[in-house]
Amino acid sequence: MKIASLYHPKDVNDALRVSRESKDTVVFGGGAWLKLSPRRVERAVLLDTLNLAEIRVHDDAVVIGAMCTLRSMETHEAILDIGQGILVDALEQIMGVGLRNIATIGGSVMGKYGFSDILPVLLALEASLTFAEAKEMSLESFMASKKRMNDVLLEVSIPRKKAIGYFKKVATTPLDFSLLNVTVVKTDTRITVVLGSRPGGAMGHDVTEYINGANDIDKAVKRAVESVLEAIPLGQNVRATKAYREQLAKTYVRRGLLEVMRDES
Amino acid sequence: MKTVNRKTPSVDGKGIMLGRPAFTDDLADKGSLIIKVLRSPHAFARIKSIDVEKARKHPGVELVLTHRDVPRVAFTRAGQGYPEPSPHDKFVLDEYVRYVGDEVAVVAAIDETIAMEALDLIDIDYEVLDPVLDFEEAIDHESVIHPEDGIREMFPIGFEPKRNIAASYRMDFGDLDKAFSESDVIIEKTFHTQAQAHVMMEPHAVNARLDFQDRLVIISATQTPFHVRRILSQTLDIPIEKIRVIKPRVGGGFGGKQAIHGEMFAALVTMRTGKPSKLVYTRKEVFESTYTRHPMKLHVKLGATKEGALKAIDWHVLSNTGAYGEHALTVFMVAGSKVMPLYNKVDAGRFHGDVVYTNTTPAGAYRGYGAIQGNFALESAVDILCAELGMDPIAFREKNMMREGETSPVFEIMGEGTEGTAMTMETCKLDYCLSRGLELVDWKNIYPRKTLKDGKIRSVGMALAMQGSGIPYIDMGAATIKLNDAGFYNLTVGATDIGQGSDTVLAQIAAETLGVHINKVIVYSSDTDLTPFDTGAYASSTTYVSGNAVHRAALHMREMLIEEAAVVFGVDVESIDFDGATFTNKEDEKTITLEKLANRITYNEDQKQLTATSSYVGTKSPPPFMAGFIDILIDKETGEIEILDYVSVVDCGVPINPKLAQGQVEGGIVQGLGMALYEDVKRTKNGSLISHDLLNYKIPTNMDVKKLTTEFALSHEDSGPYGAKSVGEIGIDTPPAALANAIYNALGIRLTSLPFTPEKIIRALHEKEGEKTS
Amino acid sequence: MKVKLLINQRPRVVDVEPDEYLLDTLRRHDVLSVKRGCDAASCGVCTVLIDGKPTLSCSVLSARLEGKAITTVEGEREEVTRFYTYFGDEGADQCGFCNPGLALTAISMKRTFDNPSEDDIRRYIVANLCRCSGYVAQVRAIKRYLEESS
Ligand SMILES: Cc1cc2nc3c(=O)[nH]c(=O)nc-3n(C[C@H](O)[C@H](O)[C@H](O)COP(=O)(O)OP(=O)(O)OC[C@H]3O[C@@H](n4cnc5c(N)ncnc54)[C@H](O)[C@@H]3O)c2cc1C
Ligand code: FES
Ligand code: FES
Repeated sequence: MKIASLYHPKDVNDALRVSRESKDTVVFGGGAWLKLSPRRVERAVLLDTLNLAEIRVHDDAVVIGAMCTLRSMETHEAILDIGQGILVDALEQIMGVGLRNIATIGGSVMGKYGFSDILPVLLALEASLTFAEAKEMSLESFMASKKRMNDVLLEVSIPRKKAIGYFKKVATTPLDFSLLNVTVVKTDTRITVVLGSRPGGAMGHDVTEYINGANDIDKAVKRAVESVLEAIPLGQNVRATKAYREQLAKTYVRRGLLEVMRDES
Repeated sequence: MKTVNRKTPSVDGKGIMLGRPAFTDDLADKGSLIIKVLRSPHAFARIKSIDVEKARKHPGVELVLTHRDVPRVAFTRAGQGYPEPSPHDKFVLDEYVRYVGDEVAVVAAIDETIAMEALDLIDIDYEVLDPVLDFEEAIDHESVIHPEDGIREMFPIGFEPKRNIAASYRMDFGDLDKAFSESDVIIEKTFHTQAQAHVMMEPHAVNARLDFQDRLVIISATQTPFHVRRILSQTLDIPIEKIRVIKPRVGGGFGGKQAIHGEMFAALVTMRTGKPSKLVYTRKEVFESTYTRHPMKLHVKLGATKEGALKAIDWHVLSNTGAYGEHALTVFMVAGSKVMPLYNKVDAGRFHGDVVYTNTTPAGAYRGYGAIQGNFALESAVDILCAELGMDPIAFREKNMMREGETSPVFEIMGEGTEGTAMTMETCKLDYCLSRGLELVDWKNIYPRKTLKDGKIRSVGMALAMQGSGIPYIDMGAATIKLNDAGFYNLTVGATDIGQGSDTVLAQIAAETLGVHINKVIVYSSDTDLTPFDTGAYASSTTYVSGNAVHRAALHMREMLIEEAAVVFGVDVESIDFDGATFTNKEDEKTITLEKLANRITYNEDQKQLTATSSYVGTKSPPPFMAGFIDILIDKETGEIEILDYVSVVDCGVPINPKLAQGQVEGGIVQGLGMALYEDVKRTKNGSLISHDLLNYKIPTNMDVKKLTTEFALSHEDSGPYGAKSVGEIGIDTPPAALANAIYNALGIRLTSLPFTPEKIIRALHEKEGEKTS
Repeated sequence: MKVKLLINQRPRVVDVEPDEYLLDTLRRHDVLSVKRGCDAASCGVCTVLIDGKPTLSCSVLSARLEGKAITTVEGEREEVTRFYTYFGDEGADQCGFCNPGLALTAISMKRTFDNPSEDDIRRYIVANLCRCSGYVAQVRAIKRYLEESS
């Protein structure tokens, strides 16, 4: 990316205002992804001095500032607690520490990358977002919306519920994007399956009805897997065909469900 | 032995880790003009017109070159013996562009930004031509990739550019029809190998400058400085004595730097502007516009008696050299010549086929070239044959493989681009490599497979391999040893250390011969002004060929030193004992130290400079051998493979530096595994590269291969320096076949097309299950 | 624009372009141990320590680093020398292009982890690509360095 000038906004409102002034303005997270872009921009809006790099722990939620690096998240106790470490598990599988010390949660959410290993987990954990203008919004509606969100993300909030989590990234090497990733989260009331890198953006499906109260676990899991495959479309790209993604989904959704149920007993 | 075959830390590792400037871009003149190359967006096109006026006028631009501005002399970029067995089919810049990434124009500017801006200011009108992208359709395709005049072969290599054939070859021995008719079992199979990218961590880089004698000095990350000097001189019509090529530290080569890449442009820019210039390839350029491994289609037919005696090997091979024919013939021939002799007891054999042009990134030298492709085909085919025969593949190999003291007719028939050299295997510990490897991998308890509790399958597979040690009568290496005051030595060699540790290995050989600690041998490579000639770092030649040269030079230095000591004591040389540190006159037990003697002849009496220069050219190429075994875990629901261990037992003669030799083997194994598992150069339908960065071209990480077990057979090659053969390439050869065989042993599916991605495994498995149920 | 950086313990005010990355700034100022392998956050050879944390210098804007401490192998001579004794002993060095970045990553691991397992080590250095060594000797060397040198 070619950048003509850098801008340090006074506050969040200033950031929002400036970022909307022209199409040639871009808000920076860590900038690792933006670096790869061939774009030329007039102004890069840096959020470095707006105190957005904090992780706050409340009774009911962990609130992560948009400028927190992935590395600062994965080394945080409260985040390690979430879903038995499921988020840390996902974060640790993204490239190496050298990148994770740069890449931010803000950039990871706002990029809405189809290949993301973070968004599926956040989705399964029912995370919500806080924007400078739009204020609160669930991650689910953010993901479902096709519109580009012309706003500044301030925080990501993850509810602190008792949950058991399973995350599987299938990739050619540990430095590759997922061919598919599978997240399963079981709380006291719900079991959610999310598929990411389909290759499109992450999508979730609630399988509680198949599992809860079932006598024959294997049969229940089988039906749950079928319902996931029916509900969540999979497709093709250079990394994998649709058929292979389906094979992977079948296998790992089943294993994930069995694992979260085993962990409980 | 004190230094050889001992653990010896490398001479340069610490300085490099401490970050001392050592690589081309570290040493480049800071005021260098920055060179950028405009590259073709089309797989095949003719430049109808090119307008560079705006670019030339752009402030800060010093030079713009197009095909109209450069000498039109056909050459080959391949750095190999001269005259080369590669067609001279490349021009510095040409009216035709033959692959996406081919060079169109060159810009030199005072900084990178301006150079990039200037590229955008060049207007080109292309006549887009129909490209040849599928190499199986290249021969006699309507599109002729090299229609131009002025291209030629240096000697007959089967060059037929009008048919898109860069080279072709045919050999046979024995009566093939008879051998097959006497076979009880005959199998035939076609194998496909993919293009693999070298991905050396240091991208290609070159810096050019004019020195105070107005000579052209090229600093280049090259494996072949002497070939670079010759090719530049011949192509740009610069007197060869006006060119100096310095090879500093090189960040990996693997064959990818065994050729001219940016040197031609940097030389031109500096000659035309009088200013230093620099060209550092981007990673995308390395992927798109240097080299890949030659993709091949190999058809193999084997025949054997029911007792398991292999009677005949018949191959037809089609190889894809991409847009230019670098190493086209030699790589092709090695697919047979460094593989077929593994089974030397056959009655008859044939190896033939063509190397074709396509509109893709040129293929060139790459570690294990030809051998890895041929090995994959033959060692897979042997297991297929064994399955047909109902014979244990180990027993089959024991019965048919090469043994010490034996030979193969192939050696005499096939060389690299020419005829070969007959030789007997003075050392061949293949039988030990095989039996030791079986033990280490616990073959008898795992073969063919074990099903684990979680449903995953553990299996083993193996392959044998051989290489060469330099090219006989072609590869020459030379070394000079100079004595200094205080009694330490300089060793200068043309042999190019490109990270494989040859400086250390050669210094060890010198130190051993001279009887000194390695610290007393200061090694330097390579500089065409200062160091003696060497063909370069390729063909597994350095330890054997250059090592022999060093050994000879050191012996010669010893003789000269003993003569000097004899003068000091006034006795005959026979009366002098020399242990490396002290000369003893056997007649009266009087002594003089090397330090004193060196000081004496430097400063005090009989003053003179002692230097010894020797060279070596092989009269044979003793092959190293190995047996490679893979131990894997397959998830049969997903096709994912986990590598539990890769066992290598290698006969490379005496490893001069066991740790470095191990590093050569293990680095090769992991590169070979990359090729076996997933490395794949991928293109769009239009021929542009998808895998042009490290996000889309995956190489192994440390998590992909967690265990390697590497051992060396006790072996001593009398013709090698201190018993050594080569070890640089052999490691890469076995992984594709070993993995294919392990997958077969696990799942009963035979994969014949590399790489073996999990998706391919699942597809094959489903096909097999489909067959069963239908 | 001007930024104040602490490069290898030495305060320096450097003039940078808004879109200049740390890798370019460092090499321009003769900190040549820092290599460029991909320029796209994918190879690890450009790794430096920023306030002690391993960071890909090809992907951080220099202008954002006001007041930060940048450390490369040139600024860690003693520790790198210690590390090299294990590395050389295991024969883990080949071309060395990846080594400065790897050394810094290993050093940072020593300073932040207690008793890392082999798996921890492998994960921590996973993005330090090396095309020469086959990795196994590197991992052995780092393991010994972490166990024996403290
Ligand atoms: C080489 C490489 C490999 C990767 N591999 C993976 C992988 O395997 N799995 C995975 O999940 N991820 C991967 N990623 C993505 C990574 O995890 C980050 O998500 C990504 O780098 C974006 O984070 P950043 O801080 O760099 O964002 P930036 O590059 O700074 O920004 C990305 C986008 O988000 C916008 N943005 C950033 N912050 C805000 C904000 N606060 N408000 C509004 N908009 C904002 C920017 O304008 C931009 O459009 C990879 C990235 C790279 C560079
Ligand atoms: S240069 Fe490759 S990660 Fe920075
Ligand atoms: S030693 Fe060459 S890349 Fe690691």
